[in-house]
Amino acid sequence: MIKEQIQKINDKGRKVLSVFLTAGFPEGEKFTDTAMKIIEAGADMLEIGIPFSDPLADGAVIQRSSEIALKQGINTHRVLELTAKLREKTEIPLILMGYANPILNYGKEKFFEDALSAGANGVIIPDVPIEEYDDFFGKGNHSLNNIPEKSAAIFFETGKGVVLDWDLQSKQSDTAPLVTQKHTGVVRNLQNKKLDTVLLVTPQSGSERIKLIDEKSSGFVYCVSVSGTTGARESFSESDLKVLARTAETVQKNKLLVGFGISNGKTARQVLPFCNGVIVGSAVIKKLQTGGIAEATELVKELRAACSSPAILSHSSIE
Amino acid sequence: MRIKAGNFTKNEEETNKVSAFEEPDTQATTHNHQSETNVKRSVQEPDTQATTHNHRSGTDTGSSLKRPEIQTAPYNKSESEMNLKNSIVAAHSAPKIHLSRGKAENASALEKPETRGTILNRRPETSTKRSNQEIETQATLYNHPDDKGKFGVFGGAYVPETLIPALHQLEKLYNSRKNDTKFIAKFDELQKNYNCRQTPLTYAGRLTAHYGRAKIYLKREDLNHTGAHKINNALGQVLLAQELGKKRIIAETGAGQHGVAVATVCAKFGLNCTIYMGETDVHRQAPNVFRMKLLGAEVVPVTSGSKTLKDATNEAIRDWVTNISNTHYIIGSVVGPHPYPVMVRDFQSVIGKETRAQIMEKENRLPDYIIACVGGGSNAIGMFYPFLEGSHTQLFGIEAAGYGLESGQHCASLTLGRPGIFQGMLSFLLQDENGQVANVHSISAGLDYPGVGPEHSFLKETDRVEYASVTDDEALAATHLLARLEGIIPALESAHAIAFLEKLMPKTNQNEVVVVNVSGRGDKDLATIMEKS
Repeated sequence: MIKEQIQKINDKGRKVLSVFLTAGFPEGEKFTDTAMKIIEAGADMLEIGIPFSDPLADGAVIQRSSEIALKQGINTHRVLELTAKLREKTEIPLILMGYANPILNYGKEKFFEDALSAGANGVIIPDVPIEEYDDFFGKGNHSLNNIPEKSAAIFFETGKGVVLDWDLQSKQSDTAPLVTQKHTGVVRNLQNKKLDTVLLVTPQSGSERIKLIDEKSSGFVYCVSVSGTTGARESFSESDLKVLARTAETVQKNKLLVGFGISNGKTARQVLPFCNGVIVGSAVIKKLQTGGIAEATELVKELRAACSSPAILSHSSIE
Repeated sequence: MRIKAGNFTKNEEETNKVSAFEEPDTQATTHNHQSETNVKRSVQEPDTQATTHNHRSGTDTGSSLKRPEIQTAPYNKSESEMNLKNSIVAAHSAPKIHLSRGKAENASALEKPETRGTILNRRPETSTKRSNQEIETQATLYNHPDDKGKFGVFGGAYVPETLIPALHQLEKLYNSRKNDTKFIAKFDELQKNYNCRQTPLTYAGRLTAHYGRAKIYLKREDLNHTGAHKINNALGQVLLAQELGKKRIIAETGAGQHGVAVATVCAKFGLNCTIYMGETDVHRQAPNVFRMKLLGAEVVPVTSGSKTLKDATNEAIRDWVTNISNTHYIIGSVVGPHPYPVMVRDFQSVIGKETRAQIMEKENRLPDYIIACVGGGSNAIGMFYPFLEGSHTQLFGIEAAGYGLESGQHCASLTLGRPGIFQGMLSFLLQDENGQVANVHSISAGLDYPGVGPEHSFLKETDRVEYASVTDDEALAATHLLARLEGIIPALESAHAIAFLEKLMPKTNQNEVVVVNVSGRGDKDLATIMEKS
């Protein structure tokens, strides 16, 4: 669904603008109102961040927004509720972005099922690289078949690891439960109902890795513009753009959206010739923090204009 | 006897019952038990004896990164051990040795106790051969992690894609160097002549008398250059950083001991050094902050989150993600993404290798109990690793219970946490019901960490190591006790291991031997200790 949507927008002669918002930021229940205004201002897709206490891949702005959201009692369950509310109001692709641990805690299988029923179209987990992809998403779980530890097996089966659960079970049962079936179930669900799993490539990923990531990814490939955490940057260097061009040539199967560091129309226009669209997070959240929704929507409009600018369309890398 | 860490409310009577049950056929000869056991073990410790001998002649500092030759415990199971609870690891690895032969050897040795040394030195070749054969045929090697860095399900590398190529590069380099004689020689030379290895194994006579039970030995990691075990790892990793051509080093630090160790090796090797340290720790470990600056490092106070070790680690990882092309990150504990947990363990395992050789030299036997404190867990793994394959030595990892386990203000990840993904690893973690990482507390900055190394999670799950905890107050009391009785002021981290003696010692007997790893010295903690005394 995501891929088709990107194609549709590109067909109209325009690049895609995806906006990242931390769920529950700046104000818990008003999040859906904020999100709708961002969408009305021109966002083609929305990435909904599940706040985490230790967001390793994020810079100061998103860290801070996560802290604020957590203080307001936002948890994975609430994020899914907010997603469902948003889905009632909009048709655009909604992508959940969250770190592995809150999802693991919620229960991986339950999370993927509930995300689908909430109307999400994809999921991005930045701290699950392709090496851990199979274990986390349930394919080829050979290492799970050899679990010598009872509680860990139960933990993986339920995806919960709640102390009470495994204490009870480990006392009752001497054999580790098999986990294969359930995990296969998750994969099937993911494929049938099209919850895309979006993977990331970075300037550090060699071309072989990029091909592998492209192969495993669905929806689109998230191209991290520069090595570093999320956060606005003044501009991109020639060498940043060279790496980007190389990545764009290597990613064949999927659409490519570029994120990290895109702060305004100017930086968007720098990278847009090499991709199908851009992802903007920190810059919009910063505006929400300092200038409120009015300034945030202004920025979205500016970015949307950049995505429609004829200059960016003439580049050879556009298909 | 096997002692359960979590079960210290057992009364004396119960303990006696247990031991009586465990040693049914030795009742009549109880008084002979110690010497008998000693002799038997000494006779059948060929490899370790050889190591000890070499060590004396100075050719083996015990610090090579290779697997220890003492992979299994080639001793005869004594009566008391036979009834040890078989952990999952031990069940596969404990050598089943012919008791009858062992007894015969004992008997002859017992008759001539004065010739024990001679017997050892002139051990017939057949004896050695038999032991080696047993090692090969009956022991399952402890062989973790797998090539993906998994200890069972724990470990792995849950990090942003940007770091993966650098981790692969580091892993590849480390794998090619860990058995490389030139690299090992370089590392050993630094350990010997720049650090001061080997560190002593000190018999704590007055502490032993204080408890009146098992003999207590202290592994003196406090005597390392820079004051803690941390430099073992820093020296190893700085050599790798040099080979990677990285000119800039970053590190996180809690107590400041790792920060000082890294600043030290950076000074020695002329590398640019940035240390991330939680703001809270900057205040409570002020002397170490000054030391790092004196050594030429930049110290960056971290103000996010709980302003302690976990947040310092987050910031260091963010720095690394940003400066990956010219920077090496020296993680200070057996935490983080693969290959760090295995690499740091290997660099630290010198502690256990030396201890094994030293205790054989002093007592002609393996210790019955080893205690080490666990924050991330590097000193503990370094100590435990060479003992994992046998089942003789009971291993205790001691976590910080802070204000008490019931207070919610503690760092007992293994005792009260559950598995989670945090800072690149799947391991036990203190977290709330939504998977948000908990704010934790310990008086000791080095233990003030909500996670723990994945190998410890594995060792907990397989029951090979037992994990317990002691409170801030208990650790402080232990600091005073060790200072007054032995003239050693331990780091507050190490004091947690000392404090566990209060719980362990009443369950031991005079025939047994306990080793406590004193991972660091307390100079850095004087302000805290004075404040709380």
